[in-house]
Amino acid sequence: MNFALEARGIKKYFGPVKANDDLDLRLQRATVHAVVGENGAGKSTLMKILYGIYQPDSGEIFVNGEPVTIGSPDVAHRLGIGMVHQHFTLVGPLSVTENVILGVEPCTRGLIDYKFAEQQVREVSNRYNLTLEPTDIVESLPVGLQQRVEIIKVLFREARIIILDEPTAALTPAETSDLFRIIRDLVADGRSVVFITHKLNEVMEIADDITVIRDGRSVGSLTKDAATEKELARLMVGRDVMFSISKPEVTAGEVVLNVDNLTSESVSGDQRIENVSFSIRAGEIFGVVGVAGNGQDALEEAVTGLRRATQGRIELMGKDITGLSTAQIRAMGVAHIPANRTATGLVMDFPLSDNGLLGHQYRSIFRNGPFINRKAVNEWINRLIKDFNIKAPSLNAPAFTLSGGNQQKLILAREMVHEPRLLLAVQPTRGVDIASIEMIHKALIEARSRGVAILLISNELDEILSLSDRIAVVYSGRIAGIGDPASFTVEEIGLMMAGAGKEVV
Amino acid sequence: MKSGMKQDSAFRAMVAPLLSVVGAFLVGTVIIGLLGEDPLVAYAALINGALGDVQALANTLQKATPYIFGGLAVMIASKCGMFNIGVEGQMYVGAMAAAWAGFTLTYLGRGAHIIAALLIAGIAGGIWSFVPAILKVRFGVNEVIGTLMLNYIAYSLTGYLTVYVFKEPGVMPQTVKIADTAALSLLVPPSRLNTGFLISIALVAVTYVLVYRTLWGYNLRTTGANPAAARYSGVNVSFMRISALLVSGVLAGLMGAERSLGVYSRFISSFSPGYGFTSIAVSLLGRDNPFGILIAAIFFGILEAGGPAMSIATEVPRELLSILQAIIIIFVASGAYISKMLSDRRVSV
Amino acid sequence: MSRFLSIELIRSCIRIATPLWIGALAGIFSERSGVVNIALEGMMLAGAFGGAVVSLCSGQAWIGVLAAIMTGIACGLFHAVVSLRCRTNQVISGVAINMLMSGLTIFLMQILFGNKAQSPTAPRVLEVTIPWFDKIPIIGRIIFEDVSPITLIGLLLVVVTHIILYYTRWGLRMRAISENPQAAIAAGVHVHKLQYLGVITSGALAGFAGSFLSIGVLDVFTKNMTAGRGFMSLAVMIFGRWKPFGSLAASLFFGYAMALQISLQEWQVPPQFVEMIPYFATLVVLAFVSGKVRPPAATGKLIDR
Repeated sequence: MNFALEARGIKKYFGPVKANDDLDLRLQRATVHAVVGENGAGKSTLMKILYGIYQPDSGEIFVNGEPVTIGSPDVAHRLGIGMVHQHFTLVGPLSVTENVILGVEPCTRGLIDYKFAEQQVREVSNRYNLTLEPTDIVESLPVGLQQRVEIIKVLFREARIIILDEPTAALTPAETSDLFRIIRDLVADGRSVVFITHKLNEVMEIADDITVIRDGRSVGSLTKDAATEKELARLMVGRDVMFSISKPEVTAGEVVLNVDNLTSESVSGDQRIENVSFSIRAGEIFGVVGVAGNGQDALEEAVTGLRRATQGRIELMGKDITGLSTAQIRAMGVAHIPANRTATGLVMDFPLSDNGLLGHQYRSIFRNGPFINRKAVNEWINRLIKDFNIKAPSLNAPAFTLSGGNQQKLILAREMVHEPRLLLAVQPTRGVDIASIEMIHKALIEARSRGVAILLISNELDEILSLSDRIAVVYSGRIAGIGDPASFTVEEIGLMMAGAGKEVV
Repeated sequence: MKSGMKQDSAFRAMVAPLLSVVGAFLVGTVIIGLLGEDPLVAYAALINGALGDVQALANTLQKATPYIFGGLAVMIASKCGMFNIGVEGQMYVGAMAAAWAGFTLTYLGRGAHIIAALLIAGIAGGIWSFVPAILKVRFGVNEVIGTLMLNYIAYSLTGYLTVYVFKEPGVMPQTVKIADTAALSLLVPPSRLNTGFLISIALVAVTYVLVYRTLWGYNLRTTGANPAAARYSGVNVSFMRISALLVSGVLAGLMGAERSLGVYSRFISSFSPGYGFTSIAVSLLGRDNPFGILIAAIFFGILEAGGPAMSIATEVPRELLSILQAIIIIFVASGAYISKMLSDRRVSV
Repeated sequence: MSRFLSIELIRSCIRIATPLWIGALAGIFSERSGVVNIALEGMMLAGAFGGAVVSLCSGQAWIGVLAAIMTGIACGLFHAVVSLRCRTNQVISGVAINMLMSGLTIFLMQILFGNKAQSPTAPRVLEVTIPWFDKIPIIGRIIFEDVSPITLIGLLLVVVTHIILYYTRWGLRMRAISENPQAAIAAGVHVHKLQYLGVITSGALAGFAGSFLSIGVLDVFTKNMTAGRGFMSLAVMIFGRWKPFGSLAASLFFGYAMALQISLQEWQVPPQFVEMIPYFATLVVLAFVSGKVRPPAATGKLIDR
């Protein structure tokens, strides 16, 4: 028998980087095939090859048993391959119908046949119970519905093979279960789905077959019945996970950060935090975990003075810092490793020296009155480079010449060296290599030993569980559970992340 | 290795503007040739007319002065990631304000009168750039649109004040003359080169220090290069944008004051041949660096001062030079892309 | 009453508004394709010049109009190549084109006519009266009697642009590109090609608007004769919320204010105040209705490829 889609021996190198190195994928007709792997394992590259955005260096692709060359997304469409990108490609001010037909507009006598198009959209929406109005303006829809617009786009192009790239990353648990229902309907309709993810619980729930990718290779191909989450995790990471990090015993000191009944404003419609209370002591790592988009951004920005609090208090070392500016809060000993190093952590075009100064420019040691003390700055940066083993060509090299790991180390160094009282570390290991992850974890543990209070916000449950002394699970802007990590089972945490947990204090 | 890299990038920064100028002159050579004139004669006349003797040189620097002010004004906004294409309008209100101070505050003594007039001109220019700054920060109106619209409001407003309020009797659309106590002294009379030029030179140094050596300058550049990172590091981005446009407008106001107090001794309606817009070219050619802007401004001064001599010596209209200025802008602006493309060593994965 | 709403006043308003709304349509095609067009001023000027020169040489006003459009197309192509191919900042490219055209037209006048101030008299597009239609009460007198054909074509272009923008593939794709080019690319739209098309169309319309100035109302090209009308067109476009009929309405509003000022000479309203209205109104609208009046999100931004 032949497969809906088959890829054999796919190789794709970017310079010395082997993004795909001998990958295989066999998608059975009318099934859900999960492709799992860690960030950077090569999942996205493979999908971009299947969708015609990249060309493989070698390897073969078959659609319905026929060998094909997918030279562009256009060709992929013609072969019946559709893709729902992780970051939606929708035009906000246009209607659902306009978004769906963009690029393949049905026309009669030169004019777009909106009536026909709207009817088609309504039909598809009804058939899969997507509850979309064809005339709704896309930007007014919630994320879950926007994703359905993407799915209709794919169906309107008559795709038989649908690739979903990390489709649940931005969804609430309720939206996720709706999506799974839609996926099952699609499969029942004879379509085949490739489901890319790194969340193993989702794999176990929705997939029929599973391919595990590590370092650009397929390291396992199994059916769901033959797989366990533990086995998948071992394949994915290449060793047993839940490796414990040796944490020395530290007696927690005085309360450094106290957040009392805090409610923040919501910026451009994102999830705000509501009535959140917790405190962190010196020498304690407090981990906040949750599905992305459940108020983590609001918490990060509220604590650092980047976002206004509408209610409640934030205290640092007993002093009220609610409503203070970011500069004032930093001056009181708060350090901040932001979630996105290229967007908010660094100025990519600036030299290392200027990036090292970022966030410390107001400190008197780097200034002579209104002037910047270049000598002091450069001496300091040189120390950072040496102490944290940052590999950089020179002080004048722009930040974009550094690797991701070294960029992150630069931020880490910059934020840690001044011995903060409170360190806010948000997604500190996102998108960096294994060696840098270990180095960063070690640095956090060491800071803890020196008595720094650490607020760690991460979407990686493993990271939170192995580092934190206490954890909080956030759901929908509220704390769904808080306490000693040992007092929860992983299942309980998962339920709380999904909004089903009971309040535990 | 370290200094080598630095020299290399400084060298590269010089090359693109130089090549652009050379390229533009090659285009000019072809045009002059097509007109049946000798390019060498034309260019020789140009150079001679601009640099031939002390008076010619003084005239060149006089023509360069507004471009120094204007280039710096554009640069300050640009360092903060904004486009001030309203330098023209800010200059007009500055020029009018200076003239007004010049013929009104006659009770002041010589030094005080000049300082007051400059101050008022700076404030007027600052007000004119403060409006689009507020529109941007408070209402999200793109500063390109805001400053552009205000150019024409400034133009009409000063036109109205000239014709209906402060008009000198006669046919010319100009205000009455300023008092001698407000006049900027001429450096090499009869050339109109005046102490305003010295002020502009001083401002080159001042803005350099301001941008590259101070905390404000660091925050300015950070805001321009990555506003989100600036905010995360504790910079008040709105304040930086407002203050950058404000400083830019003050410089543009001074640019107008120099014309009114030093060159025309009054405000003349629509006196500017587009100084504000050409300043964008100057800042671009000078690579947004104060010293680069100084050189670029003097170069543009040479073109404008030498133009009449060229068109007397040959049949080449001096508008050729404004054509060359435009071509230089395009070459420099696209050259930045091309050289970036060549030097881009980033491996994209 | 009649002094504020006479037929003559409205006719004069339309005459003043014609180049403004055609210029605004030019702006729409460019900005809706994601390219800022500050160069409208220079493109209009070039069109006015090209129209006058060719009309003079050929003796045919309509060939002059065609030449104005061709000149505009050349300018549009230039703007497109500089800002799309060379990826120059679009505002800088626009400023450069304005400088270039101001200098170039004067330069060429000196070469061709030995006079930097104005060209010799050229044949102009004569006014027409449309039979039958001119009998419609009031409307007939206003737009079908003794009217410049350029005005009539201009009105037609408003309708055509509206249809293109909202009922054709090109229009939908344009609107997508100016809001989210990455989405258009992902949907298989040839973004680059459409951007060229948009900017070139913009140039053609700007050139056409320019021809109205030199060989429509007048019969001569004078130095820098656009006198800010390109920028005013930009204001009209924004005031009209980047929409064809909105722009028409905005241009008529501004045209009316200017016509009123001329007709009420004895009231002595300084013309400068009336000239300020479009710019002032644009700023007010952008500031206080900012929620509803929003420029296309991606206009002016470089597209990553």
